[in-house]
Amino acid sequence: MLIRELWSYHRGYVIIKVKGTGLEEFLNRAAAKGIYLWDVERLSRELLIAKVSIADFRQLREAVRKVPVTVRIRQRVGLPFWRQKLSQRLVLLAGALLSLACIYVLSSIIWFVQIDGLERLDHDFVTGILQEAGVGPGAWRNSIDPREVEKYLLLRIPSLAWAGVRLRGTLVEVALVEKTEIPDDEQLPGDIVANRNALVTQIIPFAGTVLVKEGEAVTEGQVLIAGALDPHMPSPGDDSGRYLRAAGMVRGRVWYRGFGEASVVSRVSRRTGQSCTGSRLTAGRWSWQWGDVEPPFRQYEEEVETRGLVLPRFGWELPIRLETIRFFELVTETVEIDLETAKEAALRRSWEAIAAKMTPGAEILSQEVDVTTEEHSGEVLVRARRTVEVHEEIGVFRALPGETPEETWEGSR
Amino acid sequence: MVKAFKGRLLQNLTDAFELPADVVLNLPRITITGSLQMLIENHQGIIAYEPEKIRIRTRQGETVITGTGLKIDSLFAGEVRINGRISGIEFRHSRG
Repeated sequence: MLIRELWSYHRGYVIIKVKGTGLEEFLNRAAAKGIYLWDVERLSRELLIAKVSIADFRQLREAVRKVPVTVRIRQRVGLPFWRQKLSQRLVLLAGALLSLACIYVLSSIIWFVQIDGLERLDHDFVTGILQEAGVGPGAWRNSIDPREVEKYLLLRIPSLAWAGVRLRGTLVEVALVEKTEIPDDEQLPGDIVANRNALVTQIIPFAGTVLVKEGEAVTEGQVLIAGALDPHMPSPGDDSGRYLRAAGMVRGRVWYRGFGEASVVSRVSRRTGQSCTGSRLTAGRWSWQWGDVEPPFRQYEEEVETRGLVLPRFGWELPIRLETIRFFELVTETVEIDLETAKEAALRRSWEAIAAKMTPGAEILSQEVDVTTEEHSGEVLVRARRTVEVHEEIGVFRALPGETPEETWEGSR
Repeated sequence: MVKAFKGRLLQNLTDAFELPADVVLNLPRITITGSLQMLIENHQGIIAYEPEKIRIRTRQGETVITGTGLKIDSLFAGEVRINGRISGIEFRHSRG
């Protein structure tokens, strides 16, 4: 029935109200004339409502002229009536068309550009590049070819790994992926050199020319793996040869010597508890002082506390300072410790001396300790000499002098 | 007398040749869908129309439909469709 409703709406129909005594007569006559009536409803003895198409309605008056009924239009339904109404209101029609046109035009313009995935690149910079490619607020949608814009972005911004451009209505979504860049200083050409004197035990080169052999003794600063493609090149700065970044692991045996000593008798300074305080107020070139500004003790420790006046609101420091000086009297005492404790202290110091020079986590192959006790002008001294042989990484990278990243030639390409 | 004879003859012919009676004899063809809708083809007009009772003239006499909320859904020359709660159908034969 929906089809019938739609069709009749399209063709237009009227709802008529038929009043009178010969309602059945009216129906029969109409039907006999081939007039199609539908949704006929009898409301009372003398009242009937029906629907009839516009075309049939014209014939209806003619058909029922002799029947004692009156036919009135109750309602006009359908598109033809709308058309008629609209034709009387041309301005309204024009306005509707104009607003439709406006919506169409405005929706075919780019309003927003959204850029995602920026890490190191500047947003304004990318916006500028997009403008060059014709993408920006106000551009016509049709004039944008996302594939072309992607290509242009990749051409103009070398640090991009990927670019995706998508039109979504009036929004342009630009997704960027930046290349994971190797920092410039890690691209410089150079050599692997020894960072200490050692005996080479293992060489694993990744790039470059190995210049030393396993079992060879090397000195600090000696080139182990050269970055020069031709290691017999006259000079590293010569443009005739190409240099690359040497890489590799070089391990070797390294000997460390450490020395530590401890005295059985040690002198310790200690505060006696006596102290005094002095103050000095400085304002520009003038200064006032009170209390004990000069130390009254033969042996003393000094603590100075300075307070300045700062205006917190502006961060200005006013040229007024107050210094509080405290003096503590000291006394030197001689403390005697037993030989074993002194030995331990000497050993510990000798180890600390080595640990400071050694690569942390180096493999210790052997160590020798030599402890001596000496009588020295009445004092007993314990001396510890320690020799440690370790196995550790001895190669470090040293960049070629005067190289800039632009001149880099990467071995991997 | 002649009319009655012609009618009988047509009736016999229809039976003999198994022709559809509604075409040959111009009899009404009534289709009822449940008790909600009724389609009468070959009707000859509406005698009375009330929401409780509709009388329709047909070739063989009168068809009376009773029920509640009866409504003429559509009316054509030769075809009438009735909606509503149909409770009874009665055929009243005219003497002719």
